[in-house]
Amino acid sequence: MLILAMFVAFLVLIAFGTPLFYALALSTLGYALIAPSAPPLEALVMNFVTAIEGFYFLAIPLFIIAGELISQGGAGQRLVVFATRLLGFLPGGLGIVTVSSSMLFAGMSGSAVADSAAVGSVMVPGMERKGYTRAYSGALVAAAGTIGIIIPPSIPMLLYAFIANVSVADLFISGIVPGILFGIGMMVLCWRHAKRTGIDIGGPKPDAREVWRAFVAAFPVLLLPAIILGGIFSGVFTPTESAAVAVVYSLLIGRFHYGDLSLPDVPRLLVSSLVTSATILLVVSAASVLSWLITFESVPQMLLSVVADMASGKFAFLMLVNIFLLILGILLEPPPALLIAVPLLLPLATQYGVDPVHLGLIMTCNLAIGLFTPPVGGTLFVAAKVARVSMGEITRELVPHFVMCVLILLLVTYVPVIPMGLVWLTK
Amino acid sequence: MRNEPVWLAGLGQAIEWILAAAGAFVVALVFYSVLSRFFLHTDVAWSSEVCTLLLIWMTFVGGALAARQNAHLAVIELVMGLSSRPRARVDALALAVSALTLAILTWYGITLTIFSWDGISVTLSISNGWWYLAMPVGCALMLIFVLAQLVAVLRTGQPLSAIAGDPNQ
Repeated sequence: MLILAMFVAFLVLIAFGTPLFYALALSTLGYALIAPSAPPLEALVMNFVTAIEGFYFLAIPLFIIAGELISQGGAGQRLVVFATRLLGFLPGGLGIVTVSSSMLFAGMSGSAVADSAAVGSVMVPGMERKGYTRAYSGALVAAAGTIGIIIPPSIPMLLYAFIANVSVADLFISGIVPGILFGIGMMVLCWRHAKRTGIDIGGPKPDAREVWRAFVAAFPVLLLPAIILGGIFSGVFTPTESAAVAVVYSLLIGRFHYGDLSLPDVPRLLVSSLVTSATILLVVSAASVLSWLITFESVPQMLLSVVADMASGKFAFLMLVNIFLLILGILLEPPPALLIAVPLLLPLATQYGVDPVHLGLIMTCNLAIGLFTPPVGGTLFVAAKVARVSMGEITRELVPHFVMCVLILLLVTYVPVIPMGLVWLTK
Repeated sequence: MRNEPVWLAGLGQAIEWILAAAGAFVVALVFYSVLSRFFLHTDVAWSSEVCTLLLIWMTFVGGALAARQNAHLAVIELVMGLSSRPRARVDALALAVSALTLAILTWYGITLTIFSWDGISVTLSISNGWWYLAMPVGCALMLIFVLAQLVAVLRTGQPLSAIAGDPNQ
């Protein structure tokens, strides 16, 4: 009963805008002070520090820094030019370029918001010149950016792997095929849009020499995913080490190869990345205290008895999981949503025989959809800002993307071989 | 923050420099230990303890800058629609709750640091208390910025987003 009161207190606190870190800390500490069955307060407070003590957590700030360096270092522009030369001639070409640039960018940054900011700022003005409405371009940038957390590296996947104690490499590999599927789905929508509206109906086939030149210019950037993912998958680097290598590499190409990055900007960039990382890791710290407490008080077991009445098998259970996560993802950003949902869902999933890696992938896809679903969402905000459109206009254009993404989500959920096939192959 | 007192702005600036230096050092250290493993075939034994120590300090001290910039993750959709006056009242309430939490965390953080001071870390042979100290220090710094914002909101009657900006929007 008291634990329910703790959840209610937490919800009330966040409802009037108390930051999640304080709201989580206060409700758990309050519970530990009042409840007779709770563990001693000292043990609880210790968790705030030990929760983020692992060397692997360093991968989070490092990947955020690398993402900032890449997008400020002129890499985004080279990727867009390369994708335009290669695919711009297709019907709906610029839309397809937006999606494919987001997918390429996803391979080097772990953040969906960084993806849509880097791609959107270049693509939206170009799409407007071709005759696309700003609402349509904004919606596409918001949806395509979310592929950033499905295609590895991915910060939410790192977090899930750490909390759920599964292999980072396995989870990353499971994201590859679904990420490509989401991308293809969006490209098909762009194609249809061009055929129906007559906007951007395509042009002459590209000149091979121009494609080659754009490829050479983008090559140093395209090498980065190979370094990061190759290093992690082959076991040469730990995720943290590969993130540090990515930081140094993107600093070098941004400064010396492209020259778009000025060294005096670097400290400012470091500070803003570390502040972003601090806000995530403090929620990790406080949420792990919460998850420790709910495990201590056997909440997952109580929940299991409730869920068991509603869902008789794996099929129904996964449906419940998807509905729950879609709603959670609409309200919260991926990191806090993961931290709150994992301790509740993981024990249940094990009971229903769901692979923890598969569950992590399902959660990531759900939360990715939540990122562009109004009223709250990281890529939605960025895209609305970049495209200078209102939430209402952008929402209407998002409907087809939402429907398509939910269909792919169901496919990824119920046909485990799609995400897990590559993982099984590597075993 | 608008009309931030000079000493508070100075404190914020100092934290920014320390954070940037720590971040640069961690990147260099992890990169160096990778190079050393590949080319010198030796592990930098102390590197992982230094890294976790710095990660915890960067997180709690970075949290202070996040408090200063009003950048902590929050759900603002429910209060976003309020007009300036009531929004300022709600913000003051949220800031007061935050300040209370931070005071509790600082207090127990100090107790925890004292309690763990006698333990010695494995490779660096320094007190375990250095790891725990980050929490009371960071929370005390956050408390300073949060209290300054609370005072500003109460004094001007304006919402926090008008005073400290709002990166969440």
